[in-house]
Amino acid sequence: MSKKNREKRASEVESPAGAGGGGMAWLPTVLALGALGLAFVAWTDAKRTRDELTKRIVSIDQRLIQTQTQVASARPKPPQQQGPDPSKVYTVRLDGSPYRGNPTAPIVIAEFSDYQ
Amino acid sequence: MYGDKVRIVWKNLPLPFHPNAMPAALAAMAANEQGKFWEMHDKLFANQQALGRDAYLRYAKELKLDLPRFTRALDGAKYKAQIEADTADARSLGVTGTPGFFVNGRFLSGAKPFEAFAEVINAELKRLNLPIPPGAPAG
Repeated sequence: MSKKNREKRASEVESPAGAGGGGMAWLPTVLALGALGLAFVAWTDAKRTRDELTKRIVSIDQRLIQTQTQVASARPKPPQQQGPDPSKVYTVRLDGSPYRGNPTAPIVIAEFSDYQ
Repeated sequence: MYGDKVRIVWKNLPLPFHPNAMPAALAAMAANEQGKFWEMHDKLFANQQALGRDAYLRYAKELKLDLPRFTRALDGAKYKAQIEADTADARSLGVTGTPGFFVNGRFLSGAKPFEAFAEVINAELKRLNLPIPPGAPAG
């Protein structure tokens, strides 16, 4: 075996190690890519969760508004809005009722009331 | 200030959840039989916290009413029927609370400030081509 050959062999022998070193060079890239991939998956996952939560909050808000509207409409209206229509003219039976003032007055006020 | 322009008519509406309202209304109607309705009305109003049979008889005595006659009217069916007829009128008109007023048939609910009445009264006087008395609130 010539010296040249030995050198070649040596380099061949070394080369797998060298190739191994060169081969291991992809590892950080793969790891980085993997980490990136994982980060991306985690990010999309978080985004999906966030979107779902946002959707649910919006739907809760809507249901809350609906409920409030229902409660407001179910609540009895203030007494002011009950009873006779203030824009109408009613006929009130007055015969035999106690009164004071001019019996032929142009303005007649009928008062429905009690003492308690 | 509206003087002889206004007549005020009393319609009984004793509310069912006021236990003394019906007997008090009867006392006033019993006094009305002897021409003392508003005098009794004023006493009942001034003593809303002290309504009761003893009080009605005391007021009747103070107003120098014929007491046996007053008691008969208080316990009889006649005025109870009249009060119930008033209450039925209120129901058919849609009045549910007291006081409720009709000014020439126009409804005013609750204890309103004088100006609210003046506004309706003035509008009615105008409609009837009658002068609005001096000193009446504009409206």
